[in-house]
Amino acid sequence: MTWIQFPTIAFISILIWLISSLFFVISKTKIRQTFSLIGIYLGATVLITFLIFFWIELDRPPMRTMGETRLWYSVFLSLIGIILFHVIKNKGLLIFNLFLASVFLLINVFKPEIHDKTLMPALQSPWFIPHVTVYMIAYATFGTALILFFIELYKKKRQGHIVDLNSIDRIVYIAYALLTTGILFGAFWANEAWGNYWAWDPKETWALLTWLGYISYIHIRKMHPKKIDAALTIMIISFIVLHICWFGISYLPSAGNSIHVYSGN
Amino acid sequence: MTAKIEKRYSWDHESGILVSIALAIAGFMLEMIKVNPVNGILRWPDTLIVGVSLFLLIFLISIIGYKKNIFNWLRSPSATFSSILLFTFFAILIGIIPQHTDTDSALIKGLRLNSILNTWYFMFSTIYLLFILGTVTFYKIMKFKSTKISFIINHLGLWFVVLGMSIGSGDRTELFMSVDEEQNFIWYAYDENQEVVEVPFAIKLNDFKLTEYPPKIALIQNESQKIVGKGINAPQLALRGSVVEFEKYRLKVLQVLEDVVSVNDTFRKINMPGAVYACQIEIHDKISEAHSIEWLTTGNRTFPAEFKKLDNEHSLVLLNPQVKRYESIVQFHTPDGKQGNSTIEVNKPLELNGWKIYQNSYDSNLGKWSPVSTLQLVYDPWKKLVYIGFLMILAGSFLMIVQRRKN
Repeated sequence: MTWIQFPTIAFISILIWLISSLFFVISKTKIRQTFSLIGIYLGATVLITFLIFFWIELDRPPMRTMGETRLWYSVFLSLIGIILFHVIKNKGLLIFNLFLASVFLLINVFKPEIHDKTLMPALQSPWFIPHVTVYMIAYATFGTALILFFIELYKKKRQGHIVDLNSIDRIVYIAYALLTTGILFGAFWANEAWGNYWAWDPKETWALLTWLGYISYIHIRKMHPKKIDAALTIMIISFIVLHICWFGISYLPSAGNSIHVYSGN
Repeated sequence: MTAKIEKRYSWDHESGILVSIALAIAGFMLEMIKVNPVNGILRWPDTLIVGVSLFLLIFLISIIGYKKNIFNWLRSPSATFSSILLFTFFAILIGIIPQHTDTDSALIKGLRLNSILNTWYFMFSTIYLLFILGTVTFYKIMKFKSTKISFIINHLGLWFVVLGMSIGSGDRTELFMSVDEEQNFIWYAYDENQEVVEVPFAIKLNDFKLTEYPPKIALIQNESQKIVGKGINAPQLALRGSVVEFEKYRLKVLQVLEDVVSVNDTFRKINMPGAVYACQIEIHDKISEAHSIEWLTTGNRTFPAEFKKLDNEHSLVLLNPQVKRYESIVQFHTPDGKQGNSTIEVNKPLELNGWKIYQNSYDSNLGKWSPVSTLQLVYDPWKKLVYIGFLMILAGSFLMIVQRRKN
């Protein structure tokens, strides 16, 4: 399977998620909820199956181009939503995650790529798959944390109870550990490929800035636990920085120097 | 604990911000009056002396501060946030302003914003960060509690990383060695100023090997001669039997020939520089139903590329192939008697007497026929400390999750 079949696959997944989510919201009984959950699982399974066949067809990990990373992001967003639903039982979070995953699938549908089987020598490394995978899970987890933050704020507005950042902090801690792993895997890899574990390449610098952003969030939560607005501001800024690092880099004046640009031909 | 801190220091971030601004201004002024940057000029063993002194100084301040209950400010949220903020500020500048490139901007030149890593202000921000990070960590170590293990590991690890990366940068040596299949053992390399430097090992290139992907078929705009690089019209590999669709055209790859030259309307295989790829393509216009069979070739200095004009807007070309892998098969020996053979490849460097030897480049004009290979030689004694720090941060980040759950 290739990008040619992708729009069909994406629409199938999105359609299954849409129907299941609607059913999920209105269903009151346990059995109906289970059925809608199975639908949500099914949507994710369709995507994962596509990924597996796509990988086989490409004959290299589908992790090189922006479109390919967006695909992983969608998969992980849906999976994290599903896992977290079983932990904290938040329906809204799962649905928002599926919504965001669908948005990223649609970007790939409307900004189509062709499949490119080439992989430059620097990317042919055992670090490639763990680095990108861990990164995409971290990104999806940070996205989930922000969605949950907004849900909490909305609940507070409607029901007037105090914002509980406990589960959000837990998610951020997990995402932070994954981000740290991703950056360090990148550093170990760079040390094998480019002769230096850290070279202040624009991508590396923005990865550090993302890390500093979430570090600031963790510090403000520890030192000023009541400053909810400050925590929210830092989380939003960090999430923006994360996206600059992911695909905004190309629009920065410093981009010309980056050795991290792999999508062009 | 957190409540106590909050009570003692309240939401007073002005003091920290003032310190940060003062440090930044002091650094900017030193740059403007053109005082030479110290950063990176320190060399072994001065780097070790400075590193140890910094460690002892922070240790002393922490001990005295802890016993006499002074220097508390260093452990305040204000100090923490302002040190992160100052460092982040310069990191943002590094991330936006192109580094190590010339510029016409007087502001960037004056403050050396295109070389931030080697400036006074960046050094000040690093030292400030090291001080705050160091005192905070020592304090936690002295008031040791098992619940603080992740805190200590994270902060101490980061301290090692920042120290190793800043002070250690002066001891990092990077050289380039050019080896040739025709030459015997070479034991010297060139530094960034093209000065010859002797190295503690000798290397001989037995063979340089390079393999390529098949060339790609691309659509170009006739007027601009630019490749239509994006989306579904992006160039695609010319694989025998594959079908490529560009705009209204359906292309079938009939044959792909490697290392050939065009001789009297036919292609002859040669094994030397100047050889090209040739590709036979069946072109099908889906609207007019027109069919044709054409040859495309890649081009080089000797032979121009053969392309096919499709219509007024677009032409079809065969791009020079992308490199799949390249490697140097070498022989080495060292003064202490080590010798052997090795293959140095991208992502597979050779380690020799504390040095790492990387495959860097080759003569790109000759490509797979290049008889020379350029190796990158790196000696970085502080890397071990940085890696210890990395592993501590890594362990600490996961320990945080576990400890949080327990709490």
